Amino acid sequence: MKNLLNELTTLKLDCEYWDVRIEDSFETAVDIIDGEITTCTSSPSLGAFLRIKKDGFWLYESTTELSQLKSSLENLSRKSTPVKAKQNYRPEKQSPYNNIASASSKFSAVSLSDKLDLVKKYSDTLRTHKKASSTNIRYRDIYKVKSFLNSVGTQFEFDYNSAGIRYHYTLSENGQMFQDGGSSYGSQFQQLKGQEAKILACMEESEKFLHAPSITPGKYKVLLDPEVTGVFTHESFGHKSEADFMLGNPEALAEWKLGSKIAADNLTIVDYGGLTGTSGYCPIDDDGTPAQKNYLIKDGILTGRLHSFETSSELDEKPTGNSRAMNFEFEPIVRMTSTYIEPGKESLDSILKRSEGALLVEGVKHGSGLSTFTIAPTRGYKIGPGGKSERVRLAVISGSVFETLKNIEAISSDFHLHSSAVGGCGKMEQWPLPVSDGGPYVLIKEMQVG
Amino acid sequence: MDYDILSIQEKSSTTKAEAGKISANKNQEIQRHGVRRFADGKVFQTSRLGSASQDRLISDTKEWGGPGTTHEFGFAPKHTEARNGAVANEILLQNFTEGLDILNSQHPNFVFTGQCTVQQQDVSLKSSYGLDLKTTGGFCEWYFTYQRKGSGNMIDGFLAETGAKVDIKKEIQTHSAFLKMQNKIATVKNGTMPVLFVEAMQPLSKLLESFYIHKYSEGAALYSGKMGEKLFSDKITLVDSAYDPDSGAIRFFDGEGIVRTEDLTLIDKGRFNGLMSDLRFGRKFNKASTGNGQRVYNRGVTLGPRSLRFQKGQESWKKIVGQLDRCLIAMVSAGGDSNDLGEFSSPVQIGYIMEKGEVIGQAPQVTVKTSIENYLGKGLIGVSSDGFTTYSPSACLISEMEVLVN
Repeated sequence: MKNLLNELTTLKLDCEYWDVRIEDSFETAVDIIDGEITTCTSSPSLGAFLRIKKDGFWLYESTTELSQLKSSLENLSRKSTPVKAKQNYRPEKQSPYNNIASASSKFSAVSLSDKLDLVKKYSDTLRTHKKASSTNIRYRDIYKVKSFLNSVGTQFEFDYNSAGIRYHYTLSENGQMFQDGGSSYGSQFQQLKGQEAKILACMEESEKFLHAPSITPGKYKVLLDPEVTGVFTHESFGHKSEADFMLGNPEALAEWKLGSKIAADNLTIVDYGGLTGTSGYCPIDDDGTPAQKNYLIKDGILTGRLHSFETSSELDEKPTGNSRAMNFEFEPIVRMTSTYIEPGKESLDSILKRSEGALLVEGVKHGSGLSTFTIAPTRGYKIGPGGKSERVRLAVISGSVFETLKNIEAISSDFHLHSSAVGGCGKMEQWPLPVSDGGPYVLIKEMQVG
Repeated sequence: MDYDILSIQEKSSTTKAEAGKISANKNQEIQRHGVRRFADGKVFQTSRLGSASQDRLISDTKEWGGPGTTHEFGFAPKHTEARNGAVANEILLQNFTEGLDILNSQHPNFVFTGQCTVQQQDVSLKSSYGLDLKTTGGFCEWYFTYQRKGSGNMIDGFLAETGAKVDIKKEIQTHSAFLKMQNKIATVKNGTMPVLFVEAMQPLSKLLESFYIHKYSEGAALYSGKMGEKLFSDKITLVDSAYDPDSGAIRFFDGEGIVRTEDLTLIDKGRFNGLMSDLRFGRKFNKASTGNGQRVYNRGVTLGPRSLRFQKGQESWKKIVGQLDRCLIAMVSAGGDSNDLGEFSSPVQIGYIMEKGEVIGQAPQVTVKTSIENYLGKGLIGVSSDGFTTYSPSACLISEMEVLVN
């Protein structure tokens, strides 16, 4: 891909700015539903996204015709724009970044037979459970090389290697049903092997929920596990930190004034794209800004937000490396990478011991967030004097974002960052973008449980 | 050796608005091909973007199709047919721009962001076993999200439409009644009240999975074993549309080439009436395919609905709501979920209270609770003769639910 971009290094166009991003991908999908293989396919794809900023206005094109990049850019630059507001849009030139780190372990080099065999084995494992009335397992992987050049001379190339399985099942007995599931992630194929015991253990625990009572709806003290913490962090706060939501709204900016105390003292939230081996890995964004560790909240104080180059220019702040597109068909917009709450100092055991009467929630079916966030956990446990006790079914937990941030009572030293290759984050029409999220166990004074 | 090739040619133009200004134009023209080669009782599948010859696509399956998977559920019958839907209307991009001007001038306390895409699609499915199916159609997708200035929310509401027929300015005019009441929070007490879910299917996930033939037949669905039983109100008829180019559903065939000429009635006047199947699961459970083998170009066939809608009733939703003392219009209720008993609970992030048909204010943050039986049965107040937006193909349901202030 570099050769295609090298031909453009001397290109001069009548515009404020241009860039080209080429994405060369190889993806595999395997789906087995109730033992039936419904998808088993590998697909290469190659395409480019072209951007031009002219008269303060963006002109975009996505194409699979890579032999015509230069003429496509020239044609774009000749188009008229509906506004005439020339801007000084000039990102800082970055040092060349070249990091093809996964060439020796890329998933595109693993045979489809090996992938299918692995998924079949896990499907068989799921189906051995005597109470499994329905099973569903999905495998996804992607190996992508992304290459970029812009008009200020920033050039990069890096690769992304990611795979995961996600399984769901329905257990049934005497008219009672319980739906649950689990997942595994790896940036090397080897990491996905040997999951049989984990799958069976997951199902054995699910079985104990078959006859569990439903929780009485109401307000509870709730202990979130790291996966729920991650979704809470991503949905409730991460999206609110995306600066494009503040454009044209100075009143919102004033309300979100950096330096404001908005959360409990012990809370620190970070977004960082530089974590290798996670699904949120993005060492340099689609504007050419390198990843950096962005503290969104530090010790309860609002300290940052997520930016593209454009939003940082508009709000007179620094770009943060969060300008990301889902693939070559889309323009970059402000997105998260790996978002997490930093661990605290107290052990989980210690928190459990002082949380009698609270509810422990584990696993996530889905979550979403506006001013009120909701998460649908898979499992609930009442916490008794000795820790986890009675199992309970629950549909959703919800709360006000800001109240919840202030209601954090304890943060564990146990920490887990959850990655996934199946699904991802959605914003506008761009879904699914790979991200990761997680954190410690977090005890919240009060949440609505339904 | 047999093969089939699903080809989708898309040509689209998009206008984007950010923070109250038209900010970008995007053009995209792309071809997507999904190809399956059948040999020795197996299917080998891959996909390609961009133009490619038939020979090239078939040879791709040898390079990327791997070991293949068992194919023992036959092919769709021979069929040759072509249909033409609407042509994409680029004037809508101008309407979108003008719509933004209207919103900015009439509602200066809000920041509007959105986009409008007009797309022309040509879809074909050709095979060695006698399929030559083509369909064309244009449609438009547009939306605006809005934030009240000073609001700490990412969005405070949205308006949107999808289909070959859309009327951007009319929807803006209709939605103005809600925008004008954004600053006023209506009082709501815990208890039951009529609710209109703009996304009418949202509380029904456990019902919808009961229509999947494998889930139903294996006893893994909530309504397994209930075929033919009267479960809900007479007013409830739920169909999976066969072909509806006006709403953007331009494919009259499924991903396996099954042409269904009539809507599939899943619930008929409250009675559980039908199941969805594709060739695979149809064969497994000894039923014919209902043409519900959905196929994205780069994936296998999965069972799913084409376009679900509730059959319309006699009165408009505004008339039904106008006869009620109070009604909650649940515009955005993200993050709800159902338990395995079909009980549904969801927060309503963006809702409005109407009294006798007049919008009196925004709803406070509430959680609504119902069950499938209640939503479609004893709690049902009315099924409208129209959709929430002008050209929406599905009726609105107004049903009594439990509402709890958060």
